[in-house]
Amino acid sequence: MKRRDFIKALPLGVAAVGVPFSLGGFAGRAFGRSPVLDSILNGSDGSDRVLVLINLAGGNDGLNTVIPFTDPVYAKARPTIGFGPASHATLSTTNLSTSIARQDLALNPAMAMRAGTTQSMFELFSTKKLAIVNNVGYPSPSLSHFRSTDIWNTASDSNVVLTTGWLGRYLEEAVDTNYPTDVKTGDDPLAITIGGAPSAAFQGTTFGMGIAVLDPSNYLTAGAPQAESTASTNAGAELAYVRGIYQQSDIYANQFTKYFTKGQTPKNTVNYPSTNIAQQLQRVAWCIAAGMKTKVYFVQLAGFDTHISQNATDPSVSGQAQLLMQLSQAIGAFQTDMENAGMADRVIGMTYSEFGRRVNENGSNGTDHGTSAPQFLFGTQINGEVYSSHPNLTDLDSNADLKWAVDFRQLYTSVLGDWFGVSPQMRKAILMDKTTSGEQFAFNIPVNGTSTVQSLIKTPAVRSVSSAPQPLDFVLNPNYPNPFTSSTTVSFALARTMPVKLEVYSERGERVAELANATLGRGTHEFVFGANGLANGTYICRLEAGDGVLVRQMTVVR
Amino acid sequence: MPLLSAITVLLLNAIMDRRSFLRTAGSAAGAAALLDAPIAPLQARQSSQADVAAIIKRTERNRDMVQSTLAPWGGSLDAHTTGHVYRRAGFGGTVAELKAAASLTPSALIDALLDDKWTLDANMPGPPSHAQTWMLLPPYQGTDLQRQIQQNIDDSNARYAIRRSWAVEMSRPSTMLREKMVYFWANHFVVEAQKVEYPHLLLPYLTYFRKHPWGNFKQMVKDVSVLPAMLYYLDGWYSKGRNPNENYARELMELFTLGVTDKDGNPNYTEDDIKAVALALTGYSIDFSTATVNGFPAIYTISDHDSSLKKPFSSLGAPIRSYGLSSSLHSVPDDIIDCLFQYRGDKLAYFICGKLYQYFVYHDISGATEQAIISQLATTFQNANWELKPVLQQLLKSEHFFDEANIGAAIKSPFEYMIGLARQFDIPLDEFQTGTLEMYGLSLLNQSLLDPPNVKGWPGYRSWVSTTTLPIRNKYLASALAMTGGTTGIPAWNGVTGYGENYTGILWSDADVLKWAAQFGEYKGDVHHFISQVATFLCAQPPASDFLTTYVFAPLSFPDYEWPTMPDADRVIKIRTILTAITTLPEFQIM
Repeated sequence: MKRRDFIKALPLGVAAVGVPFSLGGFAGRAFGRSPVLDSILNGSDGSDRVLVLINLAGGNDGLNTVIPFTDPVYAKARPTIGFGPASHATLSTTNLSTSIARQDLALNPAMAMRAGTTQSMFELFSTKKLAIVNNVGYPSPSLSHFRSTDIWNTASDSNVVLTTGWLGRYLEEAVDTNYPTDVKTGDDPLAITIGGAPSAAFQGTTFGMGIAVLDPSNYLTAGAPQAESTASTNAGAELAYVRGIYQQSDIYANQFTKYFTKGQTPKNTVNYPSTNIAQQLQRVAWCIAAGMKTKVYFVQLAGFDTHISQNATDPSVSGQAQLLMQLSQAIGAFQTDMENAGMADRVIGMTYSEFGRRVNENGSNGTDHGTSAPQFLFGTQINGEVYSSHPNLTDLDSNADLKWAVDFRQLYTSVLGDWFGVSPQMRKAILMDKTTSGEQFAFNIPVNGTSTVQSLIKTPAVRSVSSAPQPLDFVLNPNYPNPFTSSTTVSFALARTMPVKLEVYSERGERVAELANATLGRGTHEFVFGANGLANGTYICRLEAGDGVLVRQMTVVR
Repeated sequence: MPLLSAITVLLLNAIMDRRSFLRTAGSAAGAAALLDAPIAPLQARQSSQADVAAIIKRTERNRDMVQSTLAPWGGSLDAHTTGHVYRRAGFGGTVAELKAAASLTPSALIDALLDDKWTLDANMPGPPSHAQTWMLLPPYQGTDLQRQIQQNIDDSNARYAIRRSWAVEMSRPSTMLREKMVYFWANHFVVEAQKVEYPHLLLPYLTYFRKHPWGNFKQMVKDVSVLPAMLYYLDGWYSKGRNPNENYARELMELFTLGVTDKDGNPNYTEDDIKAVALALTGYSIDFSTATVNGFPAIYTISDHDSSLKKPFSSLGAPIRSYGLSSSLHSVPDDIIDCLFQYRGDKLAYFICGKLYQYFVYHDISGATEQAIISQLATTFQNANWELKPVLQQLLKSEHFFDEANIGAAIKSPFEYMIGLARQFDIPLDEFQTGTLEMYGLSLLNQSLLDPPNVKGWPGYRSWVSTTTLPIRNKYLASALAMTGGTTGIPAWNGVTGYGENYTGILWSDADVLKWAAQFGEYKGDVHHFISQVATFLCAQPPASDFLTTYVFAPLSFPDYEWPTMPDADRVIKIRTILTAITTLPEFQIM
């Protein structure tokens, strides 16, 4: 098997590796185009994009994170630990409804806290760099920390046990090689956990696809392994595993030496707080700023299992508020650092926590295990909005827990497809989607209080990850008429049944319409694009089908 | 089948396996897929015909074909198998200990380790250093800030003292299985010192397992349910009246007794069961005003107990009762835990025996193992009315435990690794030295005793080794202990104990190195023979002699005929180099 240069591909490396990509009717590159549009047309192929996963371990209480403070049911369910009327003045400073959310919601005030001159999570939201996705969960929720964490890490159904992580499967497909055997000198780690053991989300079929590094600026090797066979016994399997870790440890040694000078602490553009989570993110920032091509980083903030001491308002008293403050300060510092360093358009972060907590507080100033909760994505490339409605506190399941509205795998679809450019077929495979039509976990969640469905990612990646470059088996025809005044017809032909996504983008890179998002059969398909309400100018029609992407330019003239 | 085709098939299988992501619930084949494919070594070696033959030969001993059972092992002990017992049922043995133990029958050796006398008061270790300064004083509960701060410092110092003294206990050979069980229970009935800050709670918690390392499991569950450290850790002492806290009830079933699902993927309990058990266990608190040598006592207040009728395991026919209405401290757990064992006993037996199997034999339970081993152990467990000792006897004396395929099938945890290093080199450890080891564990190796990451405990097994922890083991511990060039041991951790004494390093003098080497018979004769003997002693699966020549002898860069006449001053340097080479091999990480 030949390794594809996924990790080493440059932002414009699409053509270099021969992945099918067409500029359609475009005649070369125009001057003065926005970088965002450039990215839609030429790729970002996703190859220089970074995801930072932030695990909130223990089960973060969603109702005191994104707070439905005017809901009388909330007040009744949380008489002791809730944000009652007395705290409404405080909540006005983090009120989401005054800005974007169309519901009466406020962020926990601890999330308005920032470190030094950096930003808080609330400020990230106000500047549209933080997406809040309400009510994320999955069917038949497990209330076990460990089972539910496994479900999130492996992206499995609740009743299915998988041994590979969702990012492990993605990275396996991305490198398409025997890892780590075929890793070449000059390759960077595919994924890094800041800590002692790699995240289960990175677990591949035969080996972990990520490595653990405590301090990237002081990387140590275990010593060169010997290429020896191992017995096909339990003992041989464990020895082979240890050898593999030696090998992983050894192959990246040169890279870390290249990026970091031993004994010299790398510099950041901001001062990070001294909390553990901030220090972890600071180390991630070192790697990104140094130019490492690692795709995914994993950091963790633990302690959210607030069965007790969850008093609502005061970070110095409440376990949860203290953690949310640390999170806000750490994420804000990291985001500011990335912006100052000019890296921000390449990096997004996403939180996940195994579950939210019971609606009704318990008798110990705390909450027991529950189900769905809000999750966050941040970055300059995130469409900062509140997505989905806040959960209905009166429509509970049989265990008096919230009913989810967004499957967490829908977030994964967004990250894989729109951020990393994974093709619909491949992301279906990665997410174990066995449906025959469309995508089971397509991100079709409307913005809070509207019917608008938009991507979480501002500029979707265009490169598709597939097992091998191959000729396209679909065609995007020129739209007719073009230019047009009120509407135009877009048609395309498919050589076989395949998942299809047809979208229209403005020149600034905003998605203005999604014309199709389904699995369609062989033959020609037509969609009408209405330009009502759109300004004169150039629009980009983007067709993602099978394993490729085609784009065409359309012009509105009135 | 021609040899190379066989290799190709193996490789293809490996590649195919990589694609089959999906494993259904309860399929023990799941994790096995990870193991089926030692791709790297096979690829690296397929060019050499001789190696191919060797691989094929070894492949014939496929792990799924292992036929060993729980029947008593009929073999005789030798250094290899005795070493296995000392590593798995303890924390490693010295050359002399292995030699002495090899004269016993396997059954006699196991019985000696499982002797109940090790659980008697007379054989309990003394208190940790400085225990008298905190153990009998209730913690300061007042409002004076300075005194509060001092109390926090005192508690922290005392927690470290408990950890250091525990590590010393691990290094004692006669009670090693007892301590190995304490190590097991502290990762089963987990508490985290990070939350349970009071040393007054932590020390009695450890002592409880020392006194009941292989006792009656049902009694253990009852006792642990009201052990103050556990009441504190999982919030039982908050759980009152009709407004209970579910923390303990959930983990009691999920982690301590049943597991979420059985081996076929069926749920072992429902959310309603958790609510019922949580209600039944209301009414406990801890008396923080009374410090005794046994720590703070648990209190049961009947008026804080929910007296409503509860329906645990109602679909299985368990009685609807209020559970535990007498005023005795033990009435509640006696009642509800009896119910749990009566109605879920078969699931419980399987879960606990599976966990013991993983701990002592192999982390990945295959379908064949389920049938041949775990279910048999579970039967033994139930027939013995939840006594643990018969289960351990059956397992540790079995041909399956002594099966060559399982010798070396465990990856050493940080403390198995560190204590084992000292034990194998016959270096006695005191509290100041284990203080240094504790700091390595805490800071760099992902294991601080009594402080696992969460209520499930350390995930253990393969998670112990990573690109973070392996280099630390090799660079700072193994190499340091055996290193030439001025350093003759693991340097003291830079710091002092909270009581003003220095942590100390673990030194190994040249004289002790030579004395240690002299145990290997004619060690001054043939250097290759010496290397081979040392590797056989240090590694559960020692590398082949051609491997040792290439990777251990060749880097020594001297003609082997010089060895017999080499002056001791030079020889000790060579010996340290040999030991560094062997203890930094992947083979030294498994046990």
